[in-house]
Amino acid sequence: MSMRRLLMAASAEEYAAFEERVRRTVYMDNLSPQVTENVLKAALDQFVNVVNVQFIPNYINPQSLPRAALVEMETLNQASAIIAEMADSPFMVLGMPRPVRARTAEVEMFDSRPKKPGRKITYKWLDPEDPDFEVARKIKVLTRKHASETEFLLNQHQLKEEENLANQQLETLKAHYKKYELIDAVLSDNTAKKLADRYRIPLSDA
Amino acid sequence: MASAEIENSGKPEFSWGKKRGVGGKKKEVQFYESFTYDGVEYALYDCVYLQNKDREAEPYVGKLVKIWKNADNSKKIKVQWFFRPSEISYWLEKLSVVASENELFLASGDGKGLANVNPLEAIVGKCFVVCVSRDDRNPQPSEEQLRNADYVFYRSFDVGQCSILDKMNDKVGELEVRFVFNRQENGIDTGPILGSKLKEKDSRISVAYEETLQHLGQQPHEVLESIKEDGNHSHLVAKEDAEAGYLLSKVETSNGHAESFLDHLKPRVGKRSAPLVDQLNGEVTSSISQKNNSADANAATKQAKDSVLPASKGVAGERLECDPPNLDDKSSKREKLDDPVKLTESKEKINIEQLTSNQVDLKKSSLVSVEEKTKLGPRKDTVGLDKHRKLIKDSNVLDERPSKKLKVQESVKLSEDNDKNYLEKDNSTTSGSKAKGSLAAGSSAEGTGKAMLAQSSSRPVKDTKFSEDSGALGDRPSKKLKVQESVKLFEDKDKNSLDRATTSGSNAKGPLFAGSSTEAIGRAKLAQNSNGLEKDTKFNEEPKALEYQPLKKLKDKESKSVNLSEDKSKNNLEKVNITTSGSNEKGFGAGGLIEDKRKATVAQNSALMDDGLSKEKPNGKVNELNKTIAGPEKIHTKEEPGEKMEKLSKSSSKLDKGPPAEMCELKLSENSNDSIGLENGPSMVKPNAKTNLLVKNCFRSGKGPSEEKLDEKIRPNKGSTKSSNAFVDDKIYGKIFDVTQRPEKGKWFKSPGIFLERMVVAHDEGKLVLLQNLDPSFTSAEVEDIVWSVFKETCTAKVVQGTAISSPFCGRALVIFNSAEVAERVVKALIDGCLIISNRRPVVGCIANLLHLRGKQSTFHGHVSVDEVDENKTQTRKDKRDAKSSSHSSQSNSVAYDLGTEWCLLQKRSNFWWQKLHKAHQLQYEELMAKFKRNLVRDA
Repeated sequence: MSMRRLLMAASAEEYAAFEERVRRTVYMDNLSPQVTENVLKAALDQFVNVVNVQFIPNYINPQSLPRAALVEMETLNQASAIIAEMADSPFMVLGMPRPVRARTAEVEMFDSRPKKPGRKITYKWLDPEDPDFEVARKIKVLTRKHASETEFLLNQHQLKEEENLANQQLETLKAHYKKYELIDAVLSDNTAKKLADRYRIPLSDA
Repeated sequence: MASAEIENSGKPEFSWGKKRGVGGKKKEVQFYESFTYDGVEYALYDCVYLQNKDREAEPYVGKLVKIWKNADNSKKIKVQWFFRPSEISYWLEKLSVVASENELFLASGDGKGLANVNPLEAIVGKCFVVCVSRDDRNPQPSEEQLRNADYVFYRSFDVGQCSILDKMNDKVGELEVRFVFNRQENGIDTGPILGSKLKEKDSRISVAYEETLQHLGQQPHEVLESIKEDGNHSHLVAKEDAEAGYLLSKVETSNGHAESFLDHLKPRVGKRSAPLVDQLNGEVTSSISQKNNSADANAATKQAKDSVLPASKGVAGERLECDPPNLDDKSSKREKLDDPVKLTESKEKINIEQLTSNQVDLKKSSLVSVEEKTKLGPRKDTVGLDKHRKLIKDSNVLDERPSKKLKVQESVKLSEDNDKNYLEKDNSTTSGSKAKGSLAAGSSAEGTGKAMLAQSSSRPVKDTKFSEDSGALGDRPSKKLKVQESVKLFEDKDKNSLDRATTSGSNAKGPLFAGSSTEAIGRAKLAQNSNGLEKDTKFNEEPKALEYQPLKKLKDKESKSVNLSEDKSKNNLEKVNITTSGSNEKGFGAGGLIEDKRKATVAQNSALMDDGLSKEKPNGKVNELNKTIAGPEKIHTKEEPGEKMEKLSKSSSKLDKGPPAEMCELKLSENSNDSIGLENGPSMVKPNAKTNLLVKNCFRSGKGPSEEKLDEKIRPNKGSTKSSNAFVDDKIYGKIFDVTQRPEKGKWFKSPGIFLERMVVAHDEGKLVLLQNLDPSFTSAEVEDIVWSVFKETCTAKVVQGTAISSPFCGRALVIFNSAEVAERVVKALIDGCLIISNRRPVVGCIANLLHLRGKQSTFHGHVSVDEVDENKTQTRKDKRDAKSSSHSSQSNSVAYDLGTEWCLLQKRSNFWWQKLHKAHQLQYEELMAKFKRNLVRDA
């Protein structure tokens, strides 16, 4: 069908367009699960014009992983500007204090990406007699090992670290809060005044 | 977007056709009846491919329901959609509806997804969709139409209710039903366009045909499958009576090979075997004739039928005992009878009739009658099973008889089942000498089996459905159970026999056999346990109670014939046993012969062999059943084989009066020749896989839970080489194949949400496979293509999108297969073998185990929601959220800034450790990759 041929001819062009889109897109993660497309758009509107927001579905990693999104900007400049801006100062969306992290998007991050034009995929089954078979087997083992290492790092290290930091910060905040509450209470129920009287200290500073 | 691009890429020629009328407030809209676009003439109610937004996806299929030109000269079409099964698989699964691969569902009802207005330029091409509804209003498609059809449909999908409708109402969506059905041949609606259509069809047909031819070239199975696909149509067209023969006929008509195959069989088969062959031929001819009737109304076929009728009556007498009511109605109309049992019986009868008629033609020799009787015996058993199945199915269908659509599908299945059983029966009847015949039959049976597989593969749910439905039926549940179990038995037997075959004789043949027959492999696993017998016995024990009744019936029905059949069946059993376990050890005459023959022909005939084996197995089951009735415990004991052998010899002498072994050999050799011709392609693996599916499916459905467990237990024990053989043939080791595009893809429901939903279901069902070490730049479609090319399995794949923490050099994809069996098989093959993609990466596969899927998103660390800390802050946050602008860069003098900085620090550290990990991984990986020697080119 001639139409299909034409379409195929257009695929290279399409891929180029896609790559351009990739360059205009910023990958953002450390997003709260409550962040929606609209929230993110609104948050970024102060800097740039957001064309499209796509969340990256998290199929295989633990659900406690923060969300990640691909945010397509209008221009390449805007994309790099937002990355610089967010690297410069912690940018928080829908909550504090964990900031959003931004970096350039990559092709592999996109779900609906066109095929690489002109790529031909082949396959073969290795003959078990082939010396490479053993190597391939090792590679397969290695792949699995890497996968589990990645998983371990993610679960046992990254998420733990994050949790620790969050807890620690929470403690700090609570301590601050308690401190202020205490001061407030002391001031409001006249304890401070009584004490000041007793020790003859002027309270005017408070 | 699509249209724009199309136009950019050089405007294809376009011209309007016949005008229709004007519309719009100012009459500015001109409607048309037809147009020519890019050299193709389109008319109203044509079916067309439409460009899918998702470029990599297969185009949509829709029916033109309106064509017009707007005032601004933009050309528009309104299309009512067809859904591919894959597009509505969620609901199909939910509703336990099974659909064949090339079946479409017309959108109906009211709601989103029914129809859309598209720019005319979105048309990609014409699609030939045939309505196979048996609705009276539907002009039945011709054989050729069916063969040439890109798709068929007879059901609709209500987009409002999300349900499958089997009937076409007067209006389907907004479309009058007459436009839904096939056009009248005289072209009332769009007469002028027919010619061009035909051309189009031809081209497409030729493509489809080429495919089928390829398939044919590769394997008879495939041919059969493709045939079967057509078969659905023809099936529909032909009357149900034709069902049994019909597959064959399809084969014949569509495949020159098949014909030649049959022809070969005829001459080869001695007079003894002749009946079988004749039967086969008779079936074929009858089926053909039926086709002809449907298409051209051959008088000859009618005659054959007529002749069959008397014969069938004679047969009926025997059956009468079983089901008196049915006997009277031999005509095809019985099928329509309310009683599903009758239907099946009638079908079977018809088959028998056909056979008998053929035989009659031959001269109704006493031998024939004996054979028939014998056939009847086993058949009845199987028939009983079939009936049960049918009952189940029919029971579902009963209400909807008029529409018959369900029936059609099911009947197709049924017919195939029947054919299988039937063939099996025939084989069993013919006993040893008929092994040949059985091979032939087996091949046909396989074909049917495959057909079933294809269907079943898409619809693993069927069996289960049936069983579920059976509950509703009430009095029949037991029967159903029997059926299922008996089916299990068959399969089990098949497996055993196959296993044995593979293990014993076939091992010599080795890779080819194994490679070609995944079934064999699957069973081989079982065989490895070598406890095949034990298994069988177990199975038998369970089903015994169930089987009871049918057996009794059989007995009652046939007093003498029963004996004969039993003997035969016993013989068969013996054979089976022999072939399987005992034969390996003892090398029995019959079994040995068979095996030897098989071995000789195995390489080429492996498929056939399997069929034969499977057929034998069925018999074995029957035998088992009989035994269970008579003397349950004897069934699998080794002593029996001897007896059986005797019986066999007797029976063979009675029936065959000649050296069965020779006959068998002849047949085998011939078959092998034929099969050789057929089996050249590398794609041989597919059919097997399908058969495996069938087997598995049957297996599944048939088995009780315990059996499944057994199966599972058994599998791990399998020899790795064997299992890997499921997909890997010696022939293809080391050879490089191109990954080709999967012919059909459905991406309609590929949005992440729906995929996630499906994924969770698939995960629970064990159908979800995680592929690793893919090229990260592969797209989901490419992964599907790979799976299709390598394993010949359709699937839904989704590449795992990269994130900041994912490995930059190791791509992963989640693949949903059609069944857990397929998934396991694929994984097994990947583990045992080494699949290298693009000469570089060995693919790693495992059943995905995503425990977290169930859980909800747990807490998100780092967003302090210490409400008590600062109520004002919380308040403002809420406000901000409402305003959708809760973001800010914190000021450097705030607490938040400090805390945020700590997070930034953590993120930086995280970056660092991930980089380090990935780098280390990459080093390790490349180190190993470097060890790849000559063969692997580094194409990174």
